[in-house]
Amino acid sequence: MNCETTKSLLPEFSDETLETAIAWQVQTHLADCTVCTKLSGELFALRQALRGLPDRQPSAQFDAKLAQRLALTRRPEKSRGWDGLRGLFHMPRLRPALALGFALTAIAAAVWVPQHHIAPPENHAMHTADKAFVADCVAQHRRESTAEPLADLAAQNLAGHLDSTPNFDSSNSAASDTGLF
Amino acid sequence: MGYAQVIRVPVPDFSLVERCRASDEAAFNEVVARYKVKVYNYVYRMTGSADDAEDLTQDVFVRMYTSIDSFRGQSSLSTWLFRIASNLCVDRFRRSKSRTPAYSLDEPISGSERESGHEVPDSTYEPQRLLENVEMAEQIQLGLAKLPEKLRATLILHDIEGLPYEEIAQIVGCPLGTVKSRLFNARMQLREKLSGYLTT
Repeated sequence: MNCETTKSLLPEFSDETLETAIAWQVQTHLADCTVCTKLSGELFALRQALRGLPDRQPSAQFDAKLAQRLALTRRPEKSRGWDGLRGLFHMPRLRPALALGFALTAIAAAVWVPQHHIAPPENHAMHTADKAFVADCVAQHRRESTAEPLADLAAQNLAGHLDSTPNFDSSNSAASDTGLF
Repeated sequence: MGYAQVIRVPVPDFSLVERCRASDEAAFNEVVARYKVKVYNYVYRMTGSADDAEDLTQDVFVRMYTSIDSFRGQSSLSTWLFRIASNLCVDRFRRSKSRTPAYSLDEPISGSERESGHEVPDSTYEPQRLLENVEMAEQIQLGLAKLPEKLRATLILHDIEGLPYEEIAQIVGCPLGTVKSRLFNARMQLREKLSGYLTT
Protein backbone atom coordinates (compact mmCIF):
# COMPACT_ATOMS: atom_id res chain seq x y z
CA MET A 1 0.00 0.00 0.00
CA ASN A 2 1.41 3.41 -0.98
CA CYS A 3 1.23 6.76 0.83
CA GLU A 4 -1.58 8.14 -1.33
CA THR A 5 -3.90 5.20 -0.67
CA THR A 6 -3.04 5.21 3.00
CA LYS A 7 -3.75 8.92 3.24
CA SER A 8 -7.21 8.47 1.71
CA LEU A 9 -8.01 5.68 4.16
CA LEU A 10 -6.82 7.44 7.29
CA PRO A 11 -10.20 8.99 8.26
CA GLU A 12 -11.90 5.61 8.23
CA PHE A 13 -8.84 4.05 9.86
CA SER A 14 -9.05 6.52 12.74
CA ASP A 15 -12.82 5.93 12.97
CA GLU A 16 -12.12 2.19 13.10
CA THR A 17 -14.64 1.57 10.33
CA LEU A 18 -12.23 -0.09 7.91
CA GLU A 19 -12.37 -3.80 7.18
CA THR A 20 -9.86 -5.71 9.23
CA ALA A 21 -7.73 -6.76 6.26
CA ILE A 22 -7.45 -3.19 4.93
CA ALA A 23 -6.88 -1.78 8.40
CA TRP A 24 -4.04 -4.26 8.76
CA GLN A 25 -2.48 -3.03 5.50
CA VAL A 26 -2.74 0.59 6.67
CA GLN A 27 -1.18 -0.39 9.99
CA THR A 28 1.67 -2.13 8.19
CA HIS A 29 2.29 0.91 6.01
CA LEU A 30 2.25 3.23 9.03
CA ALA A 31 4.88 1.09 10.72
CA ASP A 32 7.27 1.77 7.83
CA CYS A 33 6.36 5.35 6.83
CA THR A 34 7.16 8.26 9.12
CA VAL A 35 5.29 10.80 6.95
CA CYS A 36 2.00 8.89 7.09
CA THR A 37 2.53 8.11 10.76
CA LYS A 38 2.89 11.81 11.50
CA LEU A 39 -0.25 12.62 9.51
CA SER A 40 -2.18 9.83 11.21
CA GLY A 41 -1.10 11.11 14.60
CA GLU A 42 -2.19 14.64 13.80
CA LEU A 43 -5.57 13.51 12.51
CA PHE A 44 -6.03 11.42 15.62
CA ALA A 45 -5.13 14.40 17.83
CA LEU A 46 -7.54 16.60 15.87
CA ARG A 47 -10.32 14.10 16.31
CA GLN A 48 -9.64 13.89 20.04
CA ALA A 49 -9.67 17.69 20.29
CA LEU A 50 -12.99 17.91 18.44
CA ARG A 51 -14.56 15.18 20.54
CA GLY A 52 -13.31 16.92 23.67
CA LEU A 53 -15.01 20.22 22.93
CA PRO A 54 -17.35 21.03 25.78
CA ASP A 55 -21.07 21.34 25.15
CA ARG A 56 -22.38 24.88 25.17
CA GLN A 57 -25.75 25.51 26.75
CA PRO A 58 -28.55 27.71 25.44
CA SER A 59 -29.46 30.66 27.66
CA ALA A 60 -31.67 30.24 30.71
CA GLN A 61 -34.44 32.11 28.89
CA PHE A 62 -34.46 29.69 25.99
CA ASP A 63 -37.57 27.75 27.03
CA ALA A 64 -39.53 30.87 27.96
CA LYS A 65 -38.68 32.56 24.66
CA LEU A 66 -39.64 29.46 22.74
CA ALA A 67 -42.95 29.17 24.57
CA GLN A 68 -43.62 32.81 23.73
CA ARG A 69 -42.90 32.24 20.05
CA LEU A 70 -45.02 29.10 19.92
CA ALA A 71 -47.94 30.95 21.47
CA LEU A 72 -47.84 33.28 18.47
CA THR A 73 -47.36 30.48 15.97
CA ARG A 74 -50.36 28.94 14.34
CA ARG A 75 -50.17 25.29 13.54
CA PRO A 76 -51.49 24.40 10.08
CA GLU A 77 -54.64 22.31 9.74
CA LYS A 78 -54.07 18.60 9.60
CA SER A 79 -53.90 17.30 6.06
CA ARG A 80 -57.01 15.48 4.92
CA GLY A 81 -58.36 13.74 1.87
CA TRP A 82 -55.80 13.08 -0.81
CA ASP A 83 -52.96 14.50 1.25
CA GLY A 84 -53.76 12.07 4.02
CA LEU A 85 -54.00 9.20 1.55
CA ARG A 86 -50.72 10.26 -0.01
CA GLY A 87 -49.16 10.03 3.43
CA LEU A 88 -49.87 6.29 3.39
CA PHE A 89 -47.50 5.85 0.46
CA HIS A 90 -44.68 7.40 2.44
CA MET A 91 -44.99 4.93 5.30
CA PRO A 92 -42.27 2.32 4.74
CA ARG A 93 -44.10 -0.39 6.67
CA LEU A 94 -47.23 -0.07 4.58
CA ARG A 95 -45.52 -0.06 1.20
CA PRO A 96 -45.27 -3.86 0.69
CA ALA A 97 -48.93 -4.32 1.69
CA LEU A 98 -50.03 -1.53 -0.65
CA ALA A 99 -47.97 -2.95 -3.51
CA LEU A 100 -49.44 -6.44 -2.95
CA GLY A 101 -52.95 -5.00 -2.85
CA PHE A 102 -52.47 -3.16 -6.14
CA ALA A 103 -50.97 -6.24 -7.78
CA LEU A 104 -53.87 -8.51 -6.71
CA THR A 105 -56.43 -5.95 -7.86
CA ALA A 106 -54.75 -5.70 -11.26
CA ILE A 107 -54.65 -9.51 -11.67
CA ALA A 108 -58.31 -9.87 -10.64
CA ALA A 109 -59.33 -7.18 -13.09
CA ALA A 110 -57.32 -8.81 -15.89
CA VAL A 111 -59.08 -12.17 -15.28
CA TRP A 112 -62.63 -10.92 -14.61
CA VAL A 113 -63.10 -8.21 -17.23
CA PRO A 114 -62.65 -10.31 -20.43
CA GLN A 115 -65.05 -12.98 -19.08
CA HIS A 116 -67.77 -10.52 -18.26
CA HIS A 117 -67.37 -8.12 -21.09
CA ILE A 118 -70.79 -7.07 -22.45
CA ALA A 119 -71.09 -4.61 -25.28
CA PRO A 120 -73.25 -1.59 -24.66
CA PRO A 121 -76.93 -2.34 -25.55
CA GLU A 122 -77.30 0.26 -28.32
CA ASN A 123 -74.11 -0.88 -30.09
CA HIS A 124 -75.20 -4.50 -29.81
CA ALA A 125 -78.60 -3.76 -31.40
CA MET A 126 -77.00 -1.78 -34.21
CA HIS A 127 -74.55 -4.56 -34.89
CA THR A 128 -77.34 -7.16 -35.10
CA ALA A 129 -79.43 -5.01 -37.45
CA ASP A 130 -76.45 -4.45 -39.75
CA LYS A 131 -75.70 -8.13 -39.91
CA ALA A 132 -79.32 -8.96 -40.75
CA PHE A 133 -79.37 -6.35 -43.50
CA VAL A 134 -76.17 -7.61 -45.08
CA ALA A 135 -77.42 -11.20 -44.89
CA ASP A 136 -80.62 -10.15 -46.68
CA CYS A 137 -78.65 -8.38 -49.39
CA VAL A 138 -76.41 -11.39 -49.98
CA ALA A 139 -79.33 -13.76 -50.13
CA GLN A 140 -81.16 -11.50 -52.58
CA HIS A 141 -78.05 -11.17 -54.72
CA ARG A 142 -77.58 -14.93 -54.85
CA ARG A 143 -81.19 -15.52 -55.77
CA GLU A 144 -81.13 -13.01 -58.56
CA SER A 145 -77.70 -14.00 -59.88
CA THR A 146 -78.58 -17.70 -60.01
CA ALA A 147 -81.99 -17.15 -61.63
CA GLU A 148 -81.00 -14.71 -64.36
CA PRO A 149 -77.20 -14.39 -64.61
CA LEU A 150 -77.31 -12.41 -67.83
CA ALA A 151 -79.94 -10.09 -66.51
CA ASP A 152 -77.60 -8.97 -63.72
CA LEU A 153 -76.63 -5.50 -64.89
CA ALA A 154 -73.69 -5.24 -62.53
CA ALA A 155 -72.27 -8.57 -63.73
CA GLN A 156 -72.62 -7.54 -67.37
CA ASN A 157 -70.77 -4.29 -66.76
CA LEU A 158 -68.02 -6.08 -64.92
CA ALA A 159 -67.66 -8.71 -67.66
CA GLY A 160 -67.46 -6.01 -70.31
CA HIS A 161 -64.84 -4.20 -68.35
CA LEU A 162 -62.72 -7.28 -67.93
CA ASP A 163 -62.98 -8.20 -71.65
CA SER A 164 -61.71 -4.79 -72.62
CA THR A 165 -58.78 -5.03 -70.22
CA PRO A 166 -55.58 -6.02 -72.11
CA ASN A 167 -53.47 -9.02 -70.90
CA PHE A 168 -56.38 -10.36 -68.88
CA ASP A 169 -56.96 -14.02 -69.33
CA SER A 170 -60.15 -14.91 -67.62
CA SER A 171 -59.39 -18.61 -67.73
CA ASN A 172 -56.25 -18.14 -65.55
CA SER A 173 -57.37 -15.31 -63.43
CA ALA A 174 -58.04 -15.56 -59.82
CA ALA A 175 -61.49 -14.31 -60.60
CA SER A 176 -62.26 -17.47 -62.51
CA ASP A 177 -61.47 -19.47 -59.40
CA THR A 178 -64.17 -17.72 -57.58
CA GLY A 179 -66.76 -19.00 -59.95
CA LEU A 180 -67.89 -15.61 -61.10
CA PHE A 181 -67.18 -16.40 -64.85
CA MET B 1 -39.10 -5.87 53.73
CA GLY B 2 -38.88 -5.42 50.03
CA TYR B 3 -38.17 -2.27 48.10
CA ALA B 4 -40.19 -1.33 45.11
CA GLN B 5 -37.75 -0.36 42.45
CA VAL B 6 -39.03 2.15 39.94
CA ILE B 7 -37.17 2.18 36.67
CA ARG B 8 -37.95 5.07 34.41
CA VAL B 9 -37.74 4.00 30.81
CA PRO B 10 -37.30 6.93 28.46
CA VAL B 11 -40.23 7.42 26.13
CA PRO B 12 -39.18 6.47 22.59
CA ASP B 13 -39.02 9.26 20.02
CA PHE B 14 -41.73 7.85 17.78
CA SER B 15 -44.15 7.87 20.67
CA LEU B 16 -43.29 11.51 21.41
CA VAL B 17 -43.83 12.36 17.75
CA GLU B 18 -47.29 10.77 17.78
CA ARG B 19 -48.20 12.73 20.87
CA CYS B 20 -46.83 15.94 19.35
CA ARG B 21 -49.08 15.33 16.34
CA ALA B 22 -51.98 15.17 18.74
CA SER B 23 -50.90 18.59 20.10
CA ASP B 24 -49.60 17.18 23.37
CA GLU B 25 -47.65 20.06 24.88
CA ALA B 26 -45.81 17.87 27.40
CA ALA B 27 -44.50 15.68 24.60
CA PHE B 28 -43.28 18.71 22.67
CA ASN B 29 -41.49 20.02 25.76
CA GLU B 30 -39.90 16.61 26.19
CA VAL B 31 -38.56 16.72 22.64
CA VAL B 32 -37.18 20.22 23.21
CA ALA B 33 -35.53 19.15 26.47
CA ARG B 34 -34.05 16.09 24.78
CA TYR B 35 -32.57 17.78 21.72
CA LYS B 36 -32.09 21.47 22.37
CA VAL B 37 -28.47 21.18 23.54
CA LYS B 38 -27.49 18.98 20.58
CA VAL B 39 -29.16 21.28 18.06
CA TYR B 40 -27.83 24.39 19.78
CA ASN B 41 -24.25 23.09 19.73
CA TYR B 42 -24.46 22.12 16.08
CA VAL B 43 -25.83 25.53 15.11
CA TYR B 44 -23.32 27.29 17.34
CA ARG B 45 -20.42 25.46 15.70
CA MET B 46 -21.87 26.30 12.29
CA THR B 47 -22.47 30.00 12.91
CA GLY B 48 -19.89 30.78 15.58
CA SER B 49 -22.35 33.10 17.28
CA ALA B 50 -24.23 32.38 20.50
CA ASP B 51 -27.04 34.77 19.58
CA ASP B 52 -27.52 33.29 16.12
CA ALA B 53 -27.37 29.83 17.58
CA GLU B 54 -30.11 30.64 20.07
CA ASP B 55 -32.36 32.17 17.39
CA LEU B 56 -31.81 29.37 14.92
CA THR B 57 -32.33 26.67 17.53
CA GLN B 58 -35.66 28.25 18.37
CA ASP B 59 -36.48 28.35 14.66
CA VAL B 60 -35.76 24.63 14.46
CA PHE B 61 -38.30 23.82 17.18
CA VAL B 62 -40.88 26.23 15.78
CA ARG B 63 -40.46 24.55 12.40
CA MET B 64 -40.82 21.18 14.06
CA TYR B 65 -44.01 22.34 15.77
CA THR B 66 -45.58 23.59 12.56
CA SER B 67 -44.56 20.70 10.33
CA ILE B 68 -44.66 17.68 12.61
CA ASP B 69 -47.47 16.26 10.44
CA SER B 70 -45.11 16.13 7.48
CA PHE B 71 -42.57 14.04 9.41
CA ARG B 72 -42.96 10.58 7.86
CA GLY B 73 -40.70 8.69 10.20
CA GLN B 74 -38.37 7.65 7.38
CA SER B 75 -35.45 8.92 9.45
CA SER B 76 -35.00 9.31 13.16
CA LEU B 77 -36.32 12.38 14.93
CA SER B 78 -32.80 13.63 15.64
CA THR B 79 -31.85 13.28 11.96
CA TRP B 80 -34.92 15.27 10.99
CA LEU B 81 -34.12 18.01 13.52
CA PHE B 82 -30.49 18.20 12.36
CA ARG B 83 -31.71 18.43 8.76
CA ILE B 84 -33.98 21.34 9.64
CA ALA B 85 -31.09 22.98 11.50
CA SER B 86 -28.76 22.42 8.57
CA ASN B 87 -31.22 23.95 6.10
CA LEU B 88 -31.83 26.93 8.37
CA CYS B 89 -28.08 27.54 8.67
CA VAL B 90 -27.73 27.47 4.89
CA ASP B 91 -30.63 29.92 4.56
CA ARG B 92 -29.05 32.19 7.15
CA PHE B 93 -25.71 32.22 5.32
CA ARG B 94 -27.43 32.93 2.02
CA ARG B 95 -29.45 35.77 3.46
CA SER B 96 -26.48 37.37 5.13
CA LYS B 97 -24.77 37.20 1.69
CA SER B 98 -21.55 36.55 3.45
CA ARG B 99 -20.62 32.92 3.57
CA THR B 100 -18.33 33.62 6.50
CA PRO B 101 -20.00 32.86 9.79
CA ALA B 102 -20.38 35.65 12.30
CA TYR B 103 -17.52 34.61 14.49
CA SER B 104 -15.62 37.50 15.92
CA LEU B 105 -12.19 37.49 17.43
CA ASP B 106 -13.40 40.21 19.76
CA GLU B 107 -16.35 38.24 20.99
CA PRO B 108 -15.75 37.27 24.57
CA ILE B 109 -15.66 33.54 25.08
CA SER B 110 -18.38 33.65 27.66
CA GLY B 111 -20.07 30.77 29.33
CA SER B 112 -19.30 27.18 29.07
CA GLU B 113 -16.11 27.05 27.06
CA ARG B 114 -14.08 29.19 29.43
CA GLU B 115 -15.83 27.75 32.41
CA SER B 116 -15.74 24.31 30.99
CA GLY B 117 -12.81 23.27 33.09
CA HIS B 118 -15.35 21.50 35.22
CA GLU B 119 -16.08 19.14 32.35
CA VAL B 120 -12.47 18.33 31.60
CA PRO B 121 -11.34 14.97 32.97
CA ASP B 122 -9.52 15.00 36.31
CA SER B 123 -6.11 14.34 34.83
CA THR B 124 -6.23 17.62 32.91
CA TYR B 125 -7.12 19.89 35.79
CA GLU B 126 -3.69 21.50 35.90
CA PRO B 127 -3.88 25.23 35.07
CA GLN B 128 -1.53 24.95 32.13
CA ARG B 129 -3.56 22.14 30.52
CA LEU B 130 -6.77 24.03 31.23
CA LEU B 131 -5.43 27.09 29.46
CA GLU B 132 -4.32 24.97 26.53
CA ASN B 133 -7.77 23.40 26.27
CA VAL B 134 -9.48 26.79 26.24
CA GLU B 135 -7.07 28.09 23.66
CA MET B 136 -7.53 24.95 21.58
CA ALA B 137 -11.32 25.34 21.72
CA GLU B 138 -10.99 28.92 20.49
CA GLN B 139 -8.65 27.89 17.71
CA ILE B 140 -10.91 25.06 16.66
CA GLN B 141 -13.87 27.43 16.44
CA LEU B 142 -11.79 29.84 14.37
CA GLY B 143 -10.63 27.02 12.14
CA LEU B 144 -14.19 25.75 11.68
CA ALA B 145 -15.33 29.24 10.70
CA LYS B 146 -12.83 29.24 7.86
CA LEU B 147 -13.99 25.93 6.41
CA PRO B 148 -16.52 25.87 3.55
CA GLU B 149 -20.06 25.32 4.86
CA LYS B 150 -20.48 21.81 3.52
CA LEU B 151 -17.17 20.59 4.93
CA ARG B 152 -17.88 22.32 8.23
CA ALA B 153 -21.32 20.71 8.56
CA THR B 154 -19.95 17.24 7.86
CA LEU B 155 -17.06 17.64 10.28
CA ILE B 156 -19.26 18.96 13.08
CA LEU B 157 -21.87 16.25 12.64
CA HIS B 158 -19.29 13.45 12.59
CA ASP B 159 -16.41 14.51 14.78
CA ILE B 160 -18.23 16.65 17.34
CA GLU B 161 -21.76 15.26 17.40
CA GLY B 162 -20.55 11.72 16.72
CA LEU B 163 -23.14 10.83 14.09
CA PRO B 164 -22.48 7.92 11.72
CA TYR B 165 -21.82 8.49 8.00
CA GLU B 166 -25.27 7.19 6.97
CA GLU B 167 -27.12 9.63 9.18
CA ILE B 168 -24.99 12.55 7.98
CA ALA B 169 -25.76 11.58 4.38
CA GLN B 170 -29.47 11.86 5.21
CA ILE B 171 -29.05 15.19 6.98
CA VAL B 172 -27.01 16.95 4.34
CA GLY B 173 -28.66 15.11 1.45
CA CYS B 174 -25.69 13.65 -0.35
CA PRO B 175 -24.26 10.16 -1.05
CA LEU B 176 -22.20 8.27 1.50
CA GLY B 177 -19.03 8.61 -0.57
CA THR B 178 -19.43 12.37 -0.65
CA VAL B 179 -19.74 12.45 3.13
CA LYS B 180 -16.48 10.51 3.46
CA SER B 181 -14.60 12.72 1.02
CA ARG B 182 -15.95 15.89 2.63
CA LEU B 183 -14.89 14.60 6.03
CA PHE B 184 -11.43 13.81 4.73
CA ASN B 185 -11.05 17.26 3.15
CA ALA B 186 -12.44 18.99 6.22
CA ARG B 187 -10.01 17.20 8.52
CA MET B 188 -7.06 17.93 6.27
CA GLN B 189 -7.94 21.62 6.01
CA LEU B 190 -8.59 22.00 9.72
CA ARG B 191 -5.36 20.15 10.49
CA GLU B 192 -3.45 22.71 8.44
CA LYS B 193 -5.14 25.58 10.26
CA LEU B 194 -4.36 24.05 13.64
CA SER B 195 -0.91 22.78 12.75
CA GLY B 196 0.73 24.62 15.62
CA TYR B 197 -1.64 23.21 18.20
CA LEU B 198 -1.79 19.55 17.32
CA THR B 199 0.75 17.53 19.18
CA THR B 200 1.07 13.85 18.51
